[in-house]
Amino acid sequence: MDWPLSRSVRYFSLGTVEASAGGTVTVVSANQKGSPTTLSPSLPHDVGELWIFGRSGITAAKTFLVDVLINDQGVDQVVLPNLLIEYPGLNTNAYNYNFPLALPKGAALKVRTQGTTAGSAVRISALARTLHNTAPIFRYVDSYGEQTSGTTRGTPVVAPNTVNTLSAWTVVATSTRRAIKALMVAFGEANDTNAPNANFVAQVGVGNSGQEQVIVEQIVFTQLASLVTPQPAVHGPFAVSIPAGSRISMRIGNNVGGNTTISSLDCIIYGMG
Amino acid sequence: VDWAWGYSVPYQRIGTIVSIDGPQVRAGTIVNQKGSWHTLGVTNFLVDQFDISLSDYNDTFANMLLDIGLGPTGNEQVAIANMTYGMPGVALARRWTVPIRIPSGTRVSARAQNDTAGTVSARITMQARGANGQNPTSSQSSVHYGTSTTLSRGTLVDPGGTANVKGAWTEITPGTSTSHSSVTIVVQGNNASPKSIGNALIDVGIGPLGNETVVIPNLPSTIGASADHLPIVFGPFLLSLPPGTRIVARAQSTETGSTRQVYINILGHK
Repeated sequence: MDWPLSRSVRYFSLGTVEASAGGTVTVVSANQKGSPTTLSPSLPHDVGELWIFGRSGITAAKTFLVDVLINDQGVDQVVLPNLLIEYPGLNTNAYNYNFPLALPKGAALKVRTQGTTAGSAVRISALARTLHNTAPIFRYVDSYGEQTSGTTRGTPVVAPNTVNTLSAWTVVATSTRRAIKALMVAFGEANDTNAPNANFVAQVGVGNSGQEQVIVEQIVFTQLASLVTPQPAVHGPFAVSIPAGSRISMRIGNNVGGNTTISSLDCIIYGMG
Repeated sequence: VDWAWGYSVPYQRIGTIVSIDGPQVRAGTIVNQKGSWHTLGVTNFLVDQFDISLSDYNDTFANMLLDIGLGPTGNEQVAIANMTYGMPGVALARRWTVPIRIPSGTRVSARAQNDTAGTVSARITMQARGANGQNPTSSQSSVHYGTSTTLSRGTLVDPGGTANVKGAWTEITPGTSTSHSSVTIVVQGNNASPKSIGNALIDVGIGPLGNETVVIPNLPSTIGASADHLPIVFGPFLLSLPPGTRIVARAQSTETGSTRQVYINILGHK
């Protein structure tokens, strides 16, 4: 039935394998990006927003950095770099990335990944929204804080031993490459396999050392002993305007204190412009 | 259109900042009946979005509903009704992003009910996003569909006994009470713990019986052994729904056992 959704949009899933509830991307070589896997050979519509869903693929603990690419006119181009996905075991985490990003109809949508362990796998699917004339849209996404050479992880941020206290600032981006109009933040568990039940708060700051200004005051997530990884693991978009050349930092705290093993998280920040 | 921001919008934490833990909102003494209002804070600027995070308070409960109220003490008006929160063994943080326009200087409060005896409580923290006059106009109100106040949870959507095949459509609402410009979709499991781990896909549709059309396909939900479905809150999704729209949902799951059920409720933003 045709509904009178004149102002509405369409949503369509990409890369979803209904027989197993998600596609799979396998790491061939440790800590190296592999060949792209196609989620859609040809986008059926112009896209105005893209969700990337990352789920665990096998039982062993693994960390992944996933690139999302489009192939338009024969050229692969990374449009979403280094999406952090981490899980300590099967079905223990879910990463939902949401980027208001313009992608052209007809382009192929692909993903490639690197992980800490060869042979490990991560399940990736996507949901796309068509363009909408009032919705904001971005043209590029830059990642900050990833470590891709010789390892696969984000920037470690450590909660202090003292409960309910924020840590010192940790630099995630020494100098932003392009202007940012909104940012997203992803957390991982830094390859830990155990952790206590804890509530975390994170703050994002901009500015030189000792002069950091808080621009996102409260990012709240839970870490459960049974799941280890933070939930929710992805936060944003946060509407902040940050000029190119800015220094971005993060600080965190939790309600249990602890040591660097159980209180250390990995973090990557994604700047949209 | 471009993201028309010439400057950052402000963010404000609503509630105490003394502790990492948010203020607790304690449910009432009567099962499945809202308790008293708990003050969270006062807005410092014109707000166009709330990020609301719920987490547990070391209490044991099964299902909880929380209201967000606006206005002075004794005259609170429910702005966001019946946000679901479940705890099958352990409670995952649940974050709601709600587009809503609230004047500066507004008192924000919360109240709760739960489906088990005792005055259990949940933590709640809120981050308000300021409006700058350049963003698309935010919603003025939100309406919740599919939430049972007698059970303190959403509507049961059974994936059925066949693995990896979509179940029948389940009605979330026979008709929206007003028009909506976006929706938030909440998926949670039943209270069983441990669960059989697995994966589910959720479709949201609209239309009359027998003519349902998928409008949001294949939201992936992961079932953790000792936890709820991951993630729990999806959206908001832009979706223009006229008044009277029938909303339905269906699910498929890799699991066919007794813990396969999902509960779904949908928040419509006007």
